Amino acid sequence: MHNENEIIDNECRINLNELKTDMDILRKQLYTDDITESKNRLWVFKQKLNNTETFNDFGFMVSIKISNYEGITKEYESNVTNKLLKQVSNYMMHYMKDNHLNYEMVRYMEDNFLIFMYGLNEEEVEEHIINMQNGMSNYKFKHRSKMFNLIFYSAVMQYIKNESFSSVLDQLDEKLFDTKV
Amino acid sequence: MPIRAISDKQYKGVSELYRKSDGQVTGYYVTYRDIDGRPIKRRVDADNRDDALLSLSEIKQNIDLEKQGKAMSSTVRKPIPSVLKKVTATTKPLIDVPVNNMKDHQKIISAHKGIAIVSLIDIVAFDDINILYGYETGVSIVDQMQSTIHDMLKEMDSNGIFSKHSVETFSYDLFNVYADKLCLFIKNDFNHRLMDLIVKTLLTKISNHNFIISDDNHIHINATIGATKAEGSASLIFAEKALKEAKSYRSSYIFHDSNATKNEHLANNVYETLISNIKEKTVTPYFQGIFASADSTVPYKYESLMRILDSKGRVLSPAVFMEKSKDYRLYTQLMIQMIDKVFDVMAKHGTAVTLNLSYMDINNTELCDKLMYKVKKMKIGKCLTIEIVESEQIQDIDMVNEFIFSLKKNGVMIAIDDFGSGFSNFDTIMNLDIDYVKLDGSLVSKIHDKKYRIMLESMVKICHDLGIKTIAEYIYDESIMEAAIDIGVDYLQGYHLHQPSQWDSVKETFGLGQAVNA
Repeated sequence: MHNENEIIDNECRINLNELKTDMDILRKQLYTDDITESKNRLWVFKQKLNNTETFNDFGFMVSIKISNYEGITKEYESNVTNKLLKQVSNYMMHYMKDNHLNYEMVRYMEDNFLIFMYGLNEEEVEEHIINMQNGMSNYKFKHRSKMFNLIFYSAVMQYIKNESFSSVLDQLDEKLFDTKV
Repeated sequence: MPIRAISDKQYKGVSELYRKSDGQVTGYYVTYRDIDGRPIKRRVDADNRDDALLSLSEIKQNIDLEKQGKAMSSTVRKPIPSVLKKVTATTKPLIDVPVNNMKDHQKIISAHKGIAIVSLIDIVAFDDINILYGYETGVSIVDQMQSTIHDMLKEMDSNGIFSKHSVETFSYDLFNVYADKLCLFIKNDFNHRLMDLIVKTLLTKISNHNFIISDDNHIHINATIGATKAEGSASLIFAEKALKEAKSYRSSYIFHDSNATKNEHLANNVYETLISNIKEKTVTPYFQGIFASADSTVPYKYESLMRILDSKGRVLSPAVFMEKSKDYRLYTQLMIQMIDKVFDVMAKHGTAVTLNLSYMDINNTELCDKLMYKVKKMKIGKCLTIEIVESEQIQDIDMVNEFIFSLKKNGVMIAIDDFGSGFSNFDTIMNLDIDYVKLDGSLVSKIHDKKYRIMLESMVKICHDLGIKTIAEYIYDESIMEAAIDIGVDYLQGYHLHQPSQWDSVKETFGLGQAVNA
């Protein structure tokens, strides 16, 4: 009887572990962008923000966009633009990995990536972003015989716990607009 | 000293003329060598740097043509009158106005209102045709190529291919811009797919065409095409970029998208940053500690790494500026500053430092002379290790060995970077007299994978058997460090041990000049 219980316990534990692994995979899939390997909007709202859509931690939020992305989407089919977004996302991830940065990256909408960075001061964040952004502008993004020299614009904002996400996002958009004009 | 293929002295390129009062650019000078090799600097009529570059390229092309004419006038084969006659008869006049050079082509392209497609078509290995069959046959081949393109476009138009894609009036010009380079200027706004179709048809047509070289002989040739779709004067430059890219990747066709450049003011101004760093002498060496496996507290020596500053004083990494500095032929000036500053640190603090040099650097007499002069004058060869990067590009092993021995006579040690990646392999270390190999970071980062560990372990053993010390880079955590020590690596380098930083910060972290190899 004692042995039988142990066997059942073991089976339960194995099943629970399998269930946990499956749930982790599902959670990862649920919060991963369908085109790039970045996180998605849902992750921002479910993991990054409180119920009141305020931040549950502190750090820096960086917004990065591709110049004239609308022109590119007008010209090319989605398989080309998706490939470009994927390459851009991979470039940024490699940069941050190579520089051992503590970050989380989200494709928030279309060509707008949000990067959350931790453990750095504003100067360091800006220096990394300018290096990454200029590095990408020199990089030749390619899809089959098409070559793209992309230009990026970016803005950085510090955020603190319980600060409104939409307010920080608005300020970032304003900064981005200033960069454009 | 090594024989230099190309020196930066010959590529001064374009320089700007500033107004002293407000620093505004008021004109452009171009520097080049004339047909007899004399250096010439002259002012050109240009509104911006691109125009000045075009003028320079045009001057250089004319000089090349003059040189070729001079050199080959007595060796070319006799023309093939029947072939020339045949081709002339089928070639249409290209445009109404006389067009002589790149600047004229640029003007025609710039004058077009609206979006157009510019394609540059280049004959693969055209030099061989000129050498083997003579220049006049070469000219004939280009004429035949023009006829082939005209015929193909006419055929596509009459088959209704353009009208099917809503192109009402298909309109184009075809110029012979230089030697074997043709420019197909399509004055329509095509979808990129239609352009792909034109290029595919054209490439097939060219490769299947019999190019006549005599009454009873023909040859087959291939072409490389670079194209872009743009509005305005920059399109020819984008097409040049696309062609250059296609050639460097040995691809038959590249289409360069110019969409992003519609906001040109956002483009990173690397050129200005490079010039400013050269003028202001703000090239900044960073130093990263290299540690003996037995003691990871104090660096054995430091690797020096080049950084420059942007207009706001932010530090830019090599990914941003290195390739561009080579493109603009400004790299040598940066490197000379770097050598000066690194040697200053070595002299002041008796610090052992490694300096990265590529095969291109070793080929650069000015740079090598500067390095040797410093080593001899300052008598600090024992503190210096030259790290040869991109060793897969080495073509002249004897020349590199000559350079290595001249350094070794002064106590300098030699290392090979990125060993195990690409073509940097055992053949290199067998043929060069080196002291260290730096195992490639991409391999070291996978050291926990059994296969990679076995490979790295074997590499370390072979190096040791050959009397060469090993350095593992990319040590970014404790477990990688332990694994590297476990397989017998002699020295370690990576973020886990030390992040690259300026010398002042290094001094603070480790204390003044504590590298033990000094």
